[in-house]
Amino acid sequence: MMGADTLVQVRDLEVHFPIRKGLLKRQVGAIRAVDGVTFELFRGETLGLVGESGSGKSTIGRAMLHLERPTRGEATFQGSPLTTMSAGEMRQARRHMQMIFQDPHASLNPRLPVGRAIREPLDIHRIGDSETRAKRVVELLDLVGMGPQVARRFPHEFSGGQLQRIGIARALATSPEFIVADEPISALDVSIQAQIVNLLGDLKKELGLTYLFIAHDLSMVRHISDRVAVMYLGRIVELGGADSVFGHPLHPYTKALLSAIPIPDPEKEARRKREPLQGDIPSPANPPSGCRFRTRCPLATEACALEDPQFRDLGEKGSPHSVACHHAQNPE
Amino acid sequence: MTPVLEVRNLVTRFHTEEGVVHAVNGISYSVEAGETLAIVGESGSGKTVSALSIMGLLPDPPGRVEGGEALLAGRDLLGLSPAEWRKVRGREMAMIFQDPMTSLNPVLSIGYQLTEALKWHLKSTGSEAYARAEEMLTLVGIPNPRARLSDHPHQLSGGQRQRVMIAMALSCNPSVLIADEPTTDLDVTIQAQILDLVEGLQNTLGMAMIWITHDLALVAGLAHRVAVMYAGHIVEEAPVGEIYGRPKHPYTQGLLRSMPKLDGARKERLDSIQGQPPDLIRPFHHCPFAPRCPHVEETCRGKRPDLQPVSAGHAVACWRWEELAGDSKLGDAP
Repeated sequence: MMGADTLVQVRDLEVHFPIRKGLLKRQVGAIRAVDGVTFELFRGETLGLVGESGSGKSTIGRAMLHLERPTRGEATFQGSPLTTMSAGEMRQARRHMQMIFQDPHASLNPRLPVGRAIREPLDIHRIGDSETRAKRVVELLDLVGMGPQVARRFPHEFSGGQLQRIGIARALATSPEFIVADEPISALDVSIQAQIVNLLGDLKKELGLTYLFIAHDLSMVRHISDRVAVMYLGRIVELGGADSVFGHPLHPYTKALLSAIPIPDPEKEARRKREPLQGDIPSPANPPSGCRFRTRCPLATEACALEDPQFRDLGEKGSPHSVACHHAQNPE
Repeated sequence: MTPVLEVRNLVTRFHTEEGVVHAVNGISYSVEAGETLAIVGESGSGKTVSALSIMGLLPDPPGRVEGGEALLAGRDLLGLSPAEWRKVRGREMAMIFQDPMTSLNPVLSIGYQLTEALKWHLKSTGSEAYARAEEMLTLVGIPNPRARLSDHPHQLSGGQRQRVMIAMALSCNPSVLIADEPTTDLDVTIQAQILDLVEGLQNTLGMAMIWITHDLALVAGLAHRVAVMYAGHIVEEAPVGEIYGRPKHPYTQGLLRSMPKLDGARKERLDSIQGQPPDLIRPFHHCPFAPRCPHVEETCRGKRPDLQPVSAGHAVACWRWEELAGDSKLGDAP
């Protein structure tokens, strides 16, 4: 069911990439990048999406903006399904949903002054006249903490952190409500990461934005997110409030992930017991039967190979915390 | 104990069209057998360049080592001829890199690449070398090592490739291993596996290790001593407990504060370090961190501080550290 404050709803979303082989390029299989995912984003929240490389987290983000066509299932934005939209309707909808990319060097045209790059979405969506567009660029630069004089400069004249600010300004040009931030800080220096995370937090408060924050840095995700979804091999295995997921992880994968993160404290690091995960993530072209995590899971039993675990809510009343594991138990 | 490797006043510069880049500006450190020294810094801090300099791997031109010495068991490496370097690299000192795919040759088998160094350095015969290669793959935890020897790099996962790189680096039993962000491209669960592996190998083989990283959190469980680099200078060096417990340099303090925690209460905002990383085209006659430092004063803008002793094994390059340490609010751990 769609709640009153649901902004984005993702239902049974599936994105499979065909594997083609041979002279006739016949499809011999599929990379099941996202394989049946359901969740929603409430207006004004930040949902953190974590998982290892190959878990499908970036593909979900792209599919939600319809940069990737889902093979099954759908994403609806403010009640309208993106899957059935015409190209014109899609363009309209895109004004309200924007993306911030990992590498600002790669996502900005090196030959375009950054002011023009920030203005481009306004030109494309024909928002305002030339004068108001120019004003808006100055306003956007100010919003991300940069002066109007930078508009005429080119991307190579900026550091990574400054470029990411420009990338954020560009994403905000059309006044979107929903932002997919795909690893927005992982290409930045440590001392700059905190600046950008603070900026994203300020903008959210000021503009009432809703974020899907995709990252592999779990401590940063914990800091910025209201709720967190943990992905493994194309599925969401755990979803709940950030404090709940980090404080009382229910899925053995989440537990392993948390125990693998180094803690910046030598004493704690010496005392803590690790639950190291063995092996590598299996290929998404041929995921294990039943529970996908079972090949690396310390708790795996026969049932895990036979039956796909259902996503069930083990949270307390009022704060849902769901997990897809046969062995997961209520924390209390 | 005497150090295995001692670097003294290393200076490395790049001569580019835009000007001279002052990448490493007179840094000194040493490392003992069985010890891990972590060199922590952001991109452009000179941490990788300093390692490439002492490995004789610096691209020249544009890079040039312009001063200092690197003493390996008392012998200065920086004056070696290319032929002499080849006898040291891979034999006495070895290095592993961030991206194993660029360090492994994609068209040669794992076995060929693993045995190459053994044949060259130790004059092993083919079968000896292959036996040793298999032994090394077992040691780094690669399942079914004999079959893997005939595989090519693309057939392995990222974590396995990094294991192969480690096997290759350690095959001739070097006394120093330099690791340049070997886990940065890996997922956290694989990173944990590699860290466990390397720690275990150091316990059995006893090599000295220099671990280069931008990730202060990672260093806590791994290193014995930490050197923090900024703009080509070491700005603080201390035993690992001191760096986290009693950091003295405002940059180190800033880095530690800007990291969100996995436990404890969540903060509304992160304490970030203001400003941008420095431009290295001009040499620093002032404290290189001064433009970003919250505690900056006139002295800092006039003269560059050298490393001054704080306590045993702990040194900091800051004019105001004593004064700031007196102010408990500023000097305390974040």
